[in-house]
Amino acid sequence: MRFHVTHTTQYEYAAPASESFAELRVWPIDTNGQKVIHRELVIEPEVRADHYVDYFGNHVEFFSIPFRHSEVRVKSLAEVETFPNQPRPSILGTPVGEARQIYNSKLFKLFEYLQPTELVPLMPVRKGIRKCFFHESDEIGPALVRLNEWIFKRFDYKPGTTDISTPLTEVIKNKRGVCQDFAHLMLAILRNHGLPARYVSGYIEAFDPEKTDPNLIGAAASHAWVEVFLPGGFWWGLDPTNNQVAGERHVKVAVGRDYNDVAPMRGTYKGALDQRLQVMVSLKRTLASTL
Amino acid sequence: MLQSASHADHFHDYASTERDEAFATNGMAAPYRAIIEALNQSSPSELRARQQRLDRAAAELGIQFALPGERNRNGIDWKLDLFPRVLSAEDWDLIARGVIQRAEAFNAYISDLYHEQKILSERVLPFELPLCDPAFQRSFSGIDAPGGRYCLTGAFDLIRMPDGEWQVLENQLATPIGVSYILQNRRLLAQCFPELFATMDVAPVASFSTYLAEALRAQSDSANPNIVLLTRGENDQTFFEEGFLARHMGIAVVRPGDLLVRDSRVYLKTIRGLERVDIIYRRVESASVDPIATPGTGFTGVPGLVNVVRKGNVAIVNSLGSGVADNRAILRYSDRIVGYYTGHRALLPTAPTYHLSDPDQRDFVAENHENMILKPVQDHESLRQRLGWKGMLDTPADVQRLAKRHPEYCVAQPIIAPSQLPRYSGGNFAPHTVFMRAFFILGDEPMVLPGGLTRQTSKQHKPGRLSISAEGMKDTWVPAHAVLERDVQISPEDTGERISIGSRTAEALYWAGRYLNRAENTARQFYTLENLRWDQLGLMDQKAYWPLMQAVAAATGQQKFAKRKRPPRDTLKFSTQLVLDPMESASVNACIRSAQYNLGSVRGSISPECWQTLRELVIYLDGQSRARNSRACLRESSEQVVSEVARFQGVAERTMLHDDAWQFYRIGGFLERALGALYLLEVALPRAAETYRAEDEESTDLTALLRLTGSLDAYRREFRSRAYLDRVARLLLLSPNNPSSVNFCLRNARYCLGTLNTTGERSIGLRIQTEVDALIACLESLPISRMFPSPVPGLDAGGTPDEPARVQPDDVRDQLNALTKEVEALHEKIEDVFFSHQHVYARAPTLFEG
Repeated sequence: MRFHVTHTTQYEYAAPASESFAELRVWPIDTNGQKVIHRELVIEPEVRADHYVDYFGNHVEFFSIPFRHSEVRVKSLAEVETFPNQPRPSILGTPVGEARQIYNSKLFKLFEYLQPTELVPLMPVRKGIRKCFFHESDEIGPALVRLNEWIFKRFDYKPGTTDISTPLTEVIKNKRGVCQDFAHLMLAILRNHGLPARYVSGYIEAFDPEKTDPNLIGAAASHAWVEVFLPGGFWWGLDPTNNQVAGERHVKVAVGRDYNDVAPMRGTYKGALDQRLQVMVSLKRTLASTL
Repeated sequence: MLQSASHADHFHDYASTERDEAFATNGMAAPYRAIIEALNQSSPSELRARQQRLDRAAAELGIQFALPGERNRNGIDWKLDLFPRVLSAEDWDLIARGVIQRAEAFNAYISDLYHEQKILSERVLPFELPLCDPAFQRSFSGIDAPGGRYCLTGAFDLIRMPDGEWQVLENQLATPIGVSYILQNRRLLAQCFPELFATMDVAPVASFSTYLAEALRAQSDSANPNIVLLTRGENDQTFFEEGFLARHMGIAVVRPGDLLVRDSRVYLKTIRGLERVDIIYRRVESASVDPIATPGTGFTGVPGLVNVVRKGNVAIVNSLGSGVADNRAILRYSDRIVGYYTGHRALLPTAPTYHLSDPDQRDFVAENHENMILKPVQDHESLRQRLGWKGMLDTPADVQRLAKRHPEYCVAQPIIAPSQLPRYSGGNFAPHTVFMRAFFILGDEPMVLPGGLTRQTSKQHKPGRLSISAEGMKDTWVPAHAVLERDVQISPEDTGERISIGSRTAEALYWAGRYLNRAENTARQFYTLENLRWDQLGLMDQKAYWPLMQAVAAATGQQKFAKRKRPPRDTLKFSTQLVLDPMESASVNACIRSAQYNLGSVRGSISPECWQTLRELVIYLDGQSRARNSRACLRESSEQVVSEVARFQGVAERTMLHDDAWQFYRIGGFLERALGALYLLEVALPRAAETYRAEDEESTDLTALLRLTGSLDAYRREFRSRAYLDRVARLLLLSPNNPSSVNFCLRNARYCLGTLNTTGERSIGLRIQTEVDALIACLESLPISRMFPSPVPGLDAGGTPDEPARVQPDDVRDQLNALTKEVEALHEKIEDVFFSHQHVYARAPTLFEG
């Protein structure tokens, strides 16, 4: 499938800001599952952006605005083609115990995907969720899907009830949150069970123009899900917010240990604290893929 | 009678132990023979006098580098013992080779950790030790250091065991402190006891800072790179060390706020514009340099700096994240690390270290806990942040708690009994345990500072950072012949010339000038009103008091009172808010505190006398604001502020260097005074105009206005008449001689701007001068005669007696509002051009090249 993605981030300041600097992670990555055909970044006011690839392989763009301004608008435009890309069934059938042994043999490469982070502490899950999702003999694929479903059913999607500073403890206690909370929660459960997993930021197509399915969640803004490292080296995407395996309708932007590694825009400025942030994401399927 | 040469024996009763370096079991050790001989040449009273001289000289240093105004209370308690440490040529040869070997190995380790991590994949050491280290940051991965020098300079803490073996106790490769103390100790001992130096040809230490400057310069391809020392600038120890090193290397000391990232380059903000920085000598921890690269650390840092490093447009020394080499958890594997990267056996073994996350090692530590000392894996703030650790980690009890909760972040080292040396105290020599910190530079030719920082302690070695103040030090000698002579080209470059005055300094002084004038203005207006209220206005005119009070409130930024029609019931409360309330941002007290804050942040640029004067005022106001509020107390406080600010101005004028930074202090003052006058006139003149009758005998409003601005006397001298509206307006707006007039202030600000040494290639200051000229011209062409038609035609201006023109209050208001906006805009321009460099004028033509 081919998508046109527009991701607009806009800051309005109550008083003119100065010394702005910002770092962006809004450039979709090339993987086996997707290919970026076209990409463009528009910054208003017009300044030059520089670029590098970070440790996790994400495209990072950054810019400074060297004059007073009361508004910043960053528009990331991309055309992305996605392909069906799922692990072989035999891999999904690997027993969890065997998978853990395989992980142990290359533990130092996977180490950071098993460690707690600031946003993915392991204690709250250890204390708050006693359920064992992965037994040694379970097939890893179905077990992962069960966990995905469990989060989907157990937790309410309630935009506005949490933000990035809401600790995991509270998400577990109130049983509600948004996609990034569910992703962090799932990461914590997986890492607690010794399964290496990472955070994915991206977009999702909410409405399938060819079907009459109910709309999916997470289209109006950046979306988030997780990827689990499977034996053999496949990072398998699971979207607990939509109870789905990440597929062709997911466009991947960046990966990392938690949200902090992939924040779409992080910046500083000097000026009044009063600011208004608006994020708009649109994902439109184009027909080019059928050609 | 023949007088024999006095020959004392100070060491007769010296209780030497087996671990004594100077007195081994079989008598005096060779390197110390001459020293002991020289000391015995002095009588006990002479020795005492020498140590006293040393103490005095050291105390003076402590005072010199203590914070201004705070005397020695928080200064450096500097103790230098007169008995030096002498290292034999053999020992030094081993130390020098061993230090370089270890430095090179750990340099390779840092590089490896941030790139391929070969040492981990080959399982030379457990990978979780480095990967869990809070000093290890993923955002520094893949960044190359120029010339592969990740720890260009650093130190190791060494001990000499009783059997003569030298061991490494800790690595200090991130931002070790101590070089300035070594250099200063040598100077002190040589001044106070020159005879000692006759006993030996001692290798000099002073050239270390020159080597360091050279090594730093070599980190850039630029012919004459701009080097800055980056500090947080808080603590006294670092304050001294950093100031000392920067002076010796001729580089500027900067704080994060002094630097600015633009287009993948980093610039130093100076009043001459932005100066590109090539090399940053980092004295802050890596996690605090860039809030974007390491979010959640709570440091302000320099946003975007890490990307500039990544692009190779600035070198940071030591490289970002080099603190991973200080991780105490890997000490146990140090000898393996040295072997892995150098292919040789470690010349200096590492003291035994146990890691508490390993069950076996933890059991061993538990069984021997009485002979163990616990240490956190890192001293950095980031460890506490990583763990969300609320308490401190300074005392053994703190670390004990840490070890219980988070054993994986703790190590233990056996309490060791390293060598001892005689220490002179209370007229006697007694043995004391010594530790040594040896410094190196990994330049083109690696070198080790001949000697090191020897500190003596009666107790065991402590966890945490080296504290200079708690312990005494020894000058440390290496025989000159043991040190390879390097053929150094010491070019006496006049680097001082290139350090422009930093924007932060200028800005702090500018704001200090503004706040002091604002405080003085409010205080004077307040007590003038208080006096007026009783003696001038009379009881019938009490209602006239409130409008004036409102004008004052508006002029001082207390907007919530400016709109009220009636006086608040509790005018005492209102007055307290105006004068003493430190929480009310526009109050006199708050302004004085803001001035103190600004001056305190640039304490190196102001005279101690100034600081003292201001401190006294702050302390006085503190006392007053705690006292019970009364009108009398408020009046007294404000009178005191007016006279004390005047005293401060006098002291500043007399004791401070009248350089460019000083001019910004004056510009701030004049601009504030112009604005203060305008804010008052904006409200008071239209109001006076509304009620004004030229034929009235005396306008209380106008007289009050003259008194509020401190211009009554000036008016009387100038006009020798009662107050007429047009004359008052002229005096307060246009008079070039009245220090309270808007014109006077603008002209003086313009003069100060003109003296700034900001011309040169960029001439950024020129345009702003033109703008002030235009503003003055605009002010002087105000149609005063039209705004305030003269009641005495022909005397001051045109008009005919037949048709007296009417004053238009709205016109007056509009004109003054427009003028105020212009002056406010001037502030913004000054800020943009000189401080924040956000304005188009500040753009150097080269800034946006590709």
